[in-house]
Amino acid sequence: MNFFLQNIGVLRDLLDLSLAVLIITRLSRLMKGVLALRILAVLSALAAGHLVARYLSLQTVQLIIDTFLLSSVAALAIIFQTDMRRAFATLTRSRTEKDVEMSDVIDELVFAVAGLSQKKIGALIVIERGIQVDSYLAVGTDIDAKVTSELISSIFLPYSPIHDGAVIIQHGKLTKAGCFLPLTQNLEVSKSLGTRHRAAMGLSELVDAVVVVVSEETGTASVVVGGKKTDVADLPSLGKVLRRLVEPRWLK
Amino acid sequence: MTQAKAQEWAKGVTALSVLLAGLLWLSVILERPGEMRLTVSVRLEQMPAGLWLDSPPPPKLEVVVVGPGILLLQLPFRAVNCRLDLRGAGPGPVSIVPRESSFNLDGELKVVRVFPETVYLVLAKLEQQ
Repeated sequence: MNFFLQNIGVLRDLLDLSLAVLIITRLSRLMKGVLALRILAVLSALAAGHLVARYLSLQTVQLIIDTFLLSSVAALAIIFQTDMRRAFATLTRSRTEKDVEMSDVIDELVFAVAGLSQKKIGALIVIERGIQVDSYLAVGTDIDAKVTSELISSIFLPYSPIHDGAVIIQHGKLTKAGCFLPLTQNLEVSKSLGTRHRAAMGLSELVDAVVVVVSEETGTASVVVGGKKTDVADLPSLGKVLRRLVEPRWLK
Repeated sequence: MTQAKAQEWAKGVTALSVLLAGLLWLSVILERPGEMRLTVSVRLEQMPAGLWLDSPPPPKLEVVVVGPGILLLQLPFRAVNCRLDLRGAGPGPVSIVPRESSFNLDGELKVVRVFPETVYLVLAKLEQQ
């Protein structure tokens, strides 16, 4: 107790430093790999420059560096607005609603994906969550129908005029089909992935939607969230993953 | 990107995050007010024409300076001195109290204590020599 009281200042400083490390490490994980390294390197150089300018009393240099440092907060907020919006959407997600019974929509989706996957018919299905996807969609045909496996399967049949785009599910309804999605700008994405997967990644980088992709070449089903693709081994796993990611409130 | 490369990037991001946090923390810590004791020499300036110093040179002064830690850190590497302006002084004993402006310090640093508080000098006319 005595030791603690005597060293309270040092302990407070250590706590301060540890929390600062924790906050910056957590924030830097929101950014993409290469970009994060560059931004952190620039910010570190600016912070070091501030210290040197202050130590040497170089007031003009310090003014310039401080201006850059302060404006970098606003600049980062603009650059990462979509990532921040997605992070906040995740934060505000309620955990209590997860226990609610699974929805028919997911069952229908799983059936449709199973059929398409078996026949090696490519498909792209977007399930909207907290953030609206409308502003990121191009073209598309309004449908506004109940989600059924038959409807989804028939949309993606090769002779269907709207088979080439994505199907959008909003509030538990199939609202649009044949929509073109923005492609991912991530240069680290494997070259073996086709346009359908790139579109799924592109949209999920901008909003918190869950995108289900069925590969035309392999028939593999994948779930894409936050720009990350996860291949699904079998149907029960797809249902499990979708139930974990899509809460009933987004299907109402 | 391969998994090994991704891990390497992640390590790099963590290392840079720690570095950035450390630098930010350091810049906050070094702004905390502190104090430093210095021994400074006295420099006589503007000696009136026809007068000379007829007493032993003034002793070095003990000075206590307060201000942001980062500015105090540079003091041991700077030639800090106390400049005493003798303009207008006449022959005979002279006592001068060093002021804040007598020390060539950064504007954010304050001198809170000087020992001795007063410098005593004796000036004499050149012909008396």
